[in-house]
Amino acid sequence: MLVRRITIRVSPDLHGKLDTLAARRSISLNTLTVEALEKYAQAQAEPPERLPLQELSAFLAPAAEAADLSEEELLQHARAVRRRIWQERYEQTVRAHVGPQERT
Amino acid sequence: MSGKLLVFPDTGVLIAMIVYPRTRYGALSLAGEVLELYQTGAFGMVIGQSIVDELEEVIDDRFAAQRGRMVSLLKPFAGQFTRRPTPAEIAAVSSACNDPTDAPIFASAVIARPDIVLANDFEAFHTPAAKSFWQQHRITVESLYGLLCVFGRRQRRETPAR
Repeated sequence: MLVRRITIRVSPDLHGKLDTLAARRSISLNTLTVEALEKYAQAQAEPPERLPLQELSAFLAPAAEAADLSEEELLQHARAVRRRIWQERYEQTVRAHVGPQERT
Repeated sequence: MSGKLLVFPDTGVLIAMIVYPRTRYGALSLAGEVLELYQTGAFGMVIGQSIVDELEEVIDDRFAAQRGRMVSLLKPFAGQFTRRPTPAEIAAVSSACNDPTDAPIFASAVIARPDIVLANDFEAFHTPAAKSFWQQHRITVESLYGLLCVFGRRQRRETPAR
């Protein structure tokens, strides 16, 4: 197999951890590092997984139907939730940022 | 623009896609058609943690029994959700919002850097000020109907359809 050499610089701490992991599996530090890099390259090349929207729909759509909850009602509730989150989490801190800008 | 279009959904359209993919008569809704497109891989989706926060609260309030199931389904994707905006980031976008409560979502969308913001709330996301804001950030704003037009499933109309 054709191989190419790369040199990487790592902290003594990381070096020690990799050494320990390699020793535990009785493989060389080189083999361990190649494995890790191969996994990283594969993860980067794969497209991101699709969000499970269909799976969520499979139980939430029947739940809404069973509760006789209309889309308009639920969206109205979502607006109320947005207001609640704004008031509880953001309003005060954001106003503190907007205030000084408005005064300048 | 290269590669797959990246869409940032507002909470309302996400709810419509998940909870109301079909009309009460069983036909596919606009949201259902968009969900189908997503499932076929026509576009990618980027979701903000702020959207997930709202979604979880809505489900918790109205479908409490389903919350655990939803949380466990979303958990493996937590790393994909874009971070919540800071107060300074929210303050910076507030002038584009009719309603200040929408500012965290506008700021989340900017952080996510999508090609398209998908929202059916015309009074919030499609106003001239909001459109100009999205344009400044090189983001297009589309309704569910508009997104179907992007993919050739519908024809653009002069009056935006909701």
